[in-house]
Amino acid sequence: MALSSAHAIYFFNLRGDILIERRYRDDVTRDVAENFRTQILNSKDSSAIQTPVRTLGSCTFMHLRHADVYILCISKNNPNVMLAFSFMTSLVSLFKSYFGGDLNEANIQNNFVLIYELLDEAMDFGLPQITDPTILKSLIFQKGSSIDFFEKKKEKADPNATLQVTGAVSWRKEGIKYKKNEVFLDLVEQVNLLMSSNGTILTSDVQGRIMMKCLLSDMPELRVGLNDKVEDATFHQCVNLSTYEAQKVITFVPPDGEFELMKYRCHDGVSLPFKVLPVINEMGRTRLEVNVQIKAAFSSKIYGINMTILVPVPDNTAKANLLVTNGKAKYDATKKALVWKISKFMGESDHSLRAEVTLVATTKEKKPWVRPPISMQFQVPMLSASSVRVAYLKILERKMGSEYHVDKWVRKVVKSGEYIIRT
Amino acid sequence: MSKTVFMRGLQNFIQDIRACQNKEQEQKRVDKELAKIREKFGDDKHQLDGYDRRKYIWKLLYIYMLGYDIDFGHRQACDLIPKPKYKDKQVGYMACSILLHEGDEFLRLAINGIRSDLISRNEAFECLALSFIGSVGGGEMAETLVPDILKLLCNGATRPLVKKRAALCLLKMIRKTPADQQVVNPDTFVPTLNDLLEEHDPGLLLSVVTLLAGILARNGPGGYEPCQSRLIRLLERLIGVNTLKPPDIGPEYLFYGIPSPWLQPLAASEYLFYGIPSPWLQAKCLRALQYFAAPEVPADRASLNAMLQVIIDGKNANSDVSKPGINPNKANAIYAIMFEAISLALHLDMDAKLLESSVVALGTFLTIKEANIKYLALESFARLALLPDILVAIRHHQPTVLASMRDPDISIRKKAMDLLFTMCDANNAPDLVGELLAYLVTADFTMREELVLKIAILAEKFAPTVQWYVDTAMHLLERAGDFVNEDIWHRVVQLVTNNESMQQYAARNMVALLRRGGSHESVVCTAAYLLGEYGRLIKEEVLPMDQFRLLNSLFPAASQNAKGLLMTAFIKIYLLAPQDQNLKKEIVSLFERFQKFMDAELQQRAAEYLTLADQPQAAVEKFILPMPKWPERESTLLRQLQKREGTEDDVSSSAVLGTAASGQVPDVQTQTLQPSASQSPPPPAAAASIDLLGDEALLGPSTSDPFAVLQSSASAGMTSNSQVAPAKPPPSNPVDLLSDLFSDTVLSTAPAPVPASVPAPAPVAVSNPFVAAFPSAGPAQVAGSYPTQMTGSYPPQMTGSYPTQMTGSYPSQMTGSYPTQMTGSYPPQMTAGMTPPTYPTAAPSAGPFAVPPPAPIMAPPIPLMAPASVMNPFASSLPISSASAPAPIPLAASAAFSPFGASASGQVSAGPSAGPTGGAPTPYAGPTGGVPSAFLPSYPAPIPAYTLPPAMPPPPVIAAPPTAGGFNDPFGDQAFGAPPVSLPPPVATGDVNAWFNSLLNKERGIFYEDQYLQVGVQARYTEGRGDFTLFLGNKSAEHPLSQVSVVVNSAASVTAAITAPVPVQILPKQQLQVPIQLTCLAPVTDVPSLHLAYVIGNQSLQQQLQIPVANHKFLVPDTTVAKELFFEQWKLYGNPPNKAQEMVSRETPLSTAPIISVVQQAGLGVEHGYLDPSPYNEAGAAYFVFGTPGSKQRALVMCRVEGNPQNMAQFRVTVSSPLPQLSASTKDMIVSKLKSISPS
Repeated sequence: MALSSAHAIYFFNLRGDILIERRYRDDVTRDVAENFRTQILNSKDSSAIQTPVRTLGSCTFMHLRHADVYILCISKNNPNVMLAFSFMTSLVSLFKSYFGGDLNEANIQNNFVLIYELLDEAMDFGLPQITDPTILKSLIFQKGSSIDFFEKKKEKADPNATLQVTGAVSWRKEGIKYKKNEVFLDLVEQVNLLMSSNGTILTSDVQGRIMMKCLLSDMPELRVGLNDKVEDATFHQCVNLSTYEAQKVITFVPPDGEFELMKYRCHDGVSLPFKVLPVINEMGRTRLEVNVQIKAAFSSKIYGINMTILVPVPDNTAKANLLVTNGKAKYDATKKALVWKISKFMGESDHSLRAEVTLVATTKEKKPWVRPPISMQFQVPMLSASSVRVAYLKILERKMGSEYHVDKWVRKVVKSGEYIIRT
Repeated sequence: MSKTVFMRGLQNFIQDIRACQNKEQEQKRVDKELAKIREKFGDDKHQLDGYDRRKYIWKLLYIYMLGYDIDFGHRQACDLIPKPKYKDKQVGYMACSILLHEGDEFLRLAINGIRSDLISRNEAFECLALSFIGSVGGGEMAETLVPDILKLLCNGATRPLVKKRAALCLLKMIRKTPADQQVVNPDTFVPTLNDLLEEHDPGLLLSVVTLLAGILARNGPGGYEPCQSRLIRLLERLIGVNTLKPPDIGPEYLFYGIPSPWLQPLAASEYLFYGIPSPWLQAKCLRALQYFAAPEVPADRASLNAMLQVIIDGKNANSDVSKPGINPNKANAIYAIMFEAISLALHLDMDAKLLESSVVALGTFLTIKEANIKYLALESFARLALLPDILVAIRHHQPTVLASMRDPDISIRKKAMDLLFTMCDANNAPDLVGELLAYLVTADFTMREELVLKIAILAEKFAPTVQWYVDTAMHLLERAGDFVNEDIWHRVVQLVTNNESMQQYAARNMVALLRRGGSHESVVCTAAYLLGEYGRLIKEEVLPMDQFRLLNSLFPAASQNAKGLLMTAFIKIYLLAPQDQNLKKEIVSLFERFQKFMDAELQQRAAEYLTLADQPQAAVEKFILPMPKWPERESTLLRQLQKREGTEDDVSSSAVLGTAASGQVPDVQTQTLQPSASQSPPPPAAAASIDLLGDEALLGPSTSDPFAVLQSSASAGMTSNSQVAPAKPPPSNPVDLLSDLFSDTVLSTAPAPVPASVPAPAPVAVSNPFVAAFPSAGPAQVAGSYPTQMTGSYPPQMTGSYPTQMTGSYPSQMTGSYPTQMTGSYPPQMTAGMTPPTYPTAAPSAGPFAVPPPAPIMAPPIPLMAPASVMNPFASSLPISSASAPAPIPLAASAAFSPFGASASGQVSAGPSAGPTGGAPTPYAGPTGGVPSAFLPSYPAPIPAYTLPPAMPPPPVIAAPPTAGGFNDPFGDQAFGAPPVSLPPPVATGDVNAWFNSLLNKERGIFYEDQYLQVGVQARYTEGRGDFTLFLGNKSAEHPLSQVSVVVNSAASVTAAITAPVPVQILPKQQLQVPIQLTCLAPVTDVPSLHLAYVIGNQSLQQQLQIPVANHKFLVPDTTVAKELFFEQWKLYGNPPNKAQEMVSRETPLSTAPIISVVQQAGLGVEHGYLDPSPYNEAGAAYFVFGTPGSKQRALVMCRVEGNPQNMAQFRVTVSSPLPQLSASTKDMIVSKLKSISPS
């Protein structure tokens, strides 16, 4: 059974207590899960938890952390690891959509029954089945305890649930009605950067997603036109791929509610929103001078928000005198870094941080400081880091024709992915 | 102190840590705290006050104890030690003792502070310093501080409180200093010790006795003898006053010059432990006394004896353990004293009465449930059992000990096993071994191996008869199976071999055992040996076939080693009944299977035995002989046990064994391996003179497999060589039994004959190198799995020597004049006529290897010939061998003329990537060892070097000739000497226009064809682009098409370009592709053309063709065009020339489906009833995409076919688009199709 991905699924809290156990095959015992706790989670070697896939004896442990919960897949044969991980991620989004909030320990404890029911549907004999929330919601009506009951009126049980699952347009039900038709389209791009200490870009790419929220009646067909810059696209199952092949137009009948229409990746022509110029001087054993300058490389009409810059400092830092031209900065011992937060960073401007860091002399001979890289988090609304644009968004409803009125909303935002500058 | 308890910050921190849900939170909290402490400690401007400093040090300590690494704050901790306040000192010492270790540099900072504390005369400080030194102090500290500690210890003014710490601290220092250094001098220190031993404080006494015991354990009693009597006095004080009544010890005890204060009993009530005065001190004293020899003063001796008697008898009402309901603590205290007393009694070798009462006491302990006591009792018993006098007494407890073997605690079981082993002797051995064997089945797995070993040793040591031993050993093998060490079955085999009377019995027993289903590895090995060797003795009762079946059933699961042994057994069993055809078939098929086995050892055995099986008579006479007796050797079992247990009782047991074993096999003790060969039944002299090479002279010609024979005898020779060669000493040390088994059986004749064949020294000398050289080739020939080694191990120079061996060994067998053949006449033998017969004979046995050996010579041609045909390399080499000289030239020339036009110097490196010839140069690189570009010049070189022109030629020559059909072929150039071939002129086999028209309506088909060439087409159209692939196929089976050219000419509306190089020639029956890319720039008005040309033989073709493109090919159908858009455009282009319209009338009516299909064929997307709701009408739309890739344009083409509802044979076709030509052509297309379509 090379396809199988899991013999059992476990949920752990951070302490290592088992929250949920669901075994799909009989050859896994609970002791095996104990091994995860002792060998990986609470291992003396703290890096053990950082390896997501680990084979101990005959068992392969694949785990994923989400908030304060570890999800663990155990397999005893040669598993398809990618399948296991994508299954676990879809489990997370499935639970989230059921709970109406985040997936965390408290939510799991409040929804044992529901989770078991979902796990029964989502996987069978270790083989992933349905993980799409919209479909499962027509099979399992129970709601998560934290779901807001006023959000939607209770839907009736769909008598044709099976038919829908196996039908041609499995992702959308017939007869959805909205008073007001609305479509939201968000183009979310994540910029990843790895820059060497001398300023050369080692890797940079953009991972984009088009997120949609459709509140549309009946069976509309949507067309999204993009300019030609898209590489490496993956689509939601609703997209008609042959039309895309032929005409580069994304044509689809959308599922109801929120979903991710497509993902893409661009390597070329990435425009980096921020330039970082770090200068870090070690002045003897007990002093360090840090000077970090950041320039915004986008138009002055837009601005970055929620920026956090982490400038790592040695472990034996005693204190830091900081001076910044914008935002706030402080030394955070738990992160072992200077944390510089800027709430608004205007385009085409530049800001800098200067810090004098005092170190405590250590008593043990230590390796020289390895100078970990500077990392950044930010969001820049209305910017696109790749040159992908949404050319148009058309909605066509055959039965109603031109009677069909839709409000369309298109936004875009650039977020930081792994934005790392070596020092 | 009180303030330490109420450090608010510390408490809060600990509370925070305890409240952490998980490790991550804890880590965060700790990091935060550490940062804070770093900040405080790092701030040099503001000195911390004492309270804060202590608080942070406590916090650091707490963090450290949680397991986090602390890399600062040590200095601050050390700084606290010299502070004047007790609070500071306390924290400083505490932190230092936890954070620092012995060798830490920071200790140097503290050492002065510690010293000043030691001499401070402040008791509290002294105690702090002493306990710190005791817990941390290392060598360096010992050096500096020992005098001060000694001073404290000796000083009468020091209180016992400090002294006892000083004593323990001193002990630690003594332990820390290297063994060769003396910390204290006995002469000066003994008086001090004696004084201290007279102290009254039991705590101090305990420390001092510990110190004394420590010193004694380290340095021995030398110099400390005076302390012994003091210790006895001390004991007297402890025991005597309370327990001894004057009648017990006699009145004299009171008068031994004891100063009166001593008579004061020690036992103040606070030191009574359940009524026993200072039990731990008593135990310590008894322990310390064990380091001394027996006291010399008779009074001391008597006193000690009396005290031990009292203790061991346990008569004292106060120390009767057997009393029910006794407090366990009290019992423990009593036991502690009791066990120490027993070991002291043992040590001093007191009178028998004492020891016997010890046995009685221990016997009662054995029955106690408490595991620790039982364990200690068993241990003491084991020590007592070594005394022969006591052994008898101990035997009474044998049932109890055996019962202990079933104790749930494994350590007790192990001890009991050890004890039983010690207790065993010839009288009780059969019983005990029987018990142990019975126990073996249920024994714990961790114990089994040792238990098996011990049973085996006991069985061997105390065996009443050999038969009993064999029975026991077989039982052992059967029951313990996997835990049986190899040595055990080796030993069985040895004993059976050396006892003729046992052999039949053993074989019979083994058959019975196998029939019961014994199948462990060691059983298999023993069975293989015993049945193989002594199966003949029972062949009447158990047929050889049955023996074979019994063993063969074990074969599949056996290990490699066991398989080897089994194979040896098989051949021996076979030789018992060579006439049994069934048996022969089974055995031979097994050997044949294993001739191709991966493991070289098994493979070799199979090959050799197979040959032997062919010659049963010779095999029985010369090769497969009964095993000689084994030389007597030290029992490996005992050796192993000694290794395991150290030197315990080795002397006695091996001595016992020696007598026992020598009694059984008296005459083989001094044999070594070498004489054993000569002692074995002497083979006939004739056989001896045949010698190594003679073997194959006998066997070689008659077998179909000369290689195997040659090899087996060669390898036999090789192994025997080591014995024959005078330079090498015979392997006198007992070799591993396993290898013995094999080599001995096979070679049992070999060692003897060789010296006999010495008369002609030269042949032997020659044969040795031969034999030595051969094995390197030998395994490779037989081994099925070493092709890579083969090619690797034949460097060019080997090619010379290899055929020599081959030919040398074969023809020479006939004549016997081996050396002369070798030196003289091998050029003639090397002629091609000689070699082929050699190789083919080798081939069947060596399989794939027959061909690789000649590789360096022959390999190069093979790739060259590949394209031509399959040709026998040997055969091909023959005709050309005369043409060695010109050989390089065609090769070079053809390369030079290759279509790639490289110059003569560079052509070879260009060659590899070029085509079918590419493989050729690389094989040359191997044997010549050069890079490809060097191979041409290197050719002449080997020829003179070998001076064998006729033998050498094959490689260079074959390069060219296989292409006999024409030199041009592999290098693809007809300019090079291709004789003109007469062929008919090419004529198209069909109508070029018809092909063109049909291709307009489909995407693949024939484009052009004549009797030599077929051109097919496959096209794909996407958005204004066409990917057009021509398939050029040479139909001719003999002749290549050369000078092939395909040239395209773009038209105004459609550009055409060839996107990959057009091949210049097409080999016979080859098909090549030519991709062409078409781009539509505007509605198609004219079509691009294509010029095709080629030459075949003396004929050529020039052909102009039209590329089949039309407007509809570039239409992208859209069935779901938005209605609004459609009608908007329909209106916009509703007038001529954008709109084209025509009426069509057919003779037959059409239904909806064919109309839709017509529209679809015209390239438009249509969905019935979508754009035009009328059921009689069809409307369709498509995008026409055109323009260069950067500036593509799209035009919507719309069409409507309206049927007459009354007469569906009449239609109105309307097409509109932004481009008039497009509208017209699309309309024409639809109209013509509507007209031509046949009714459905």
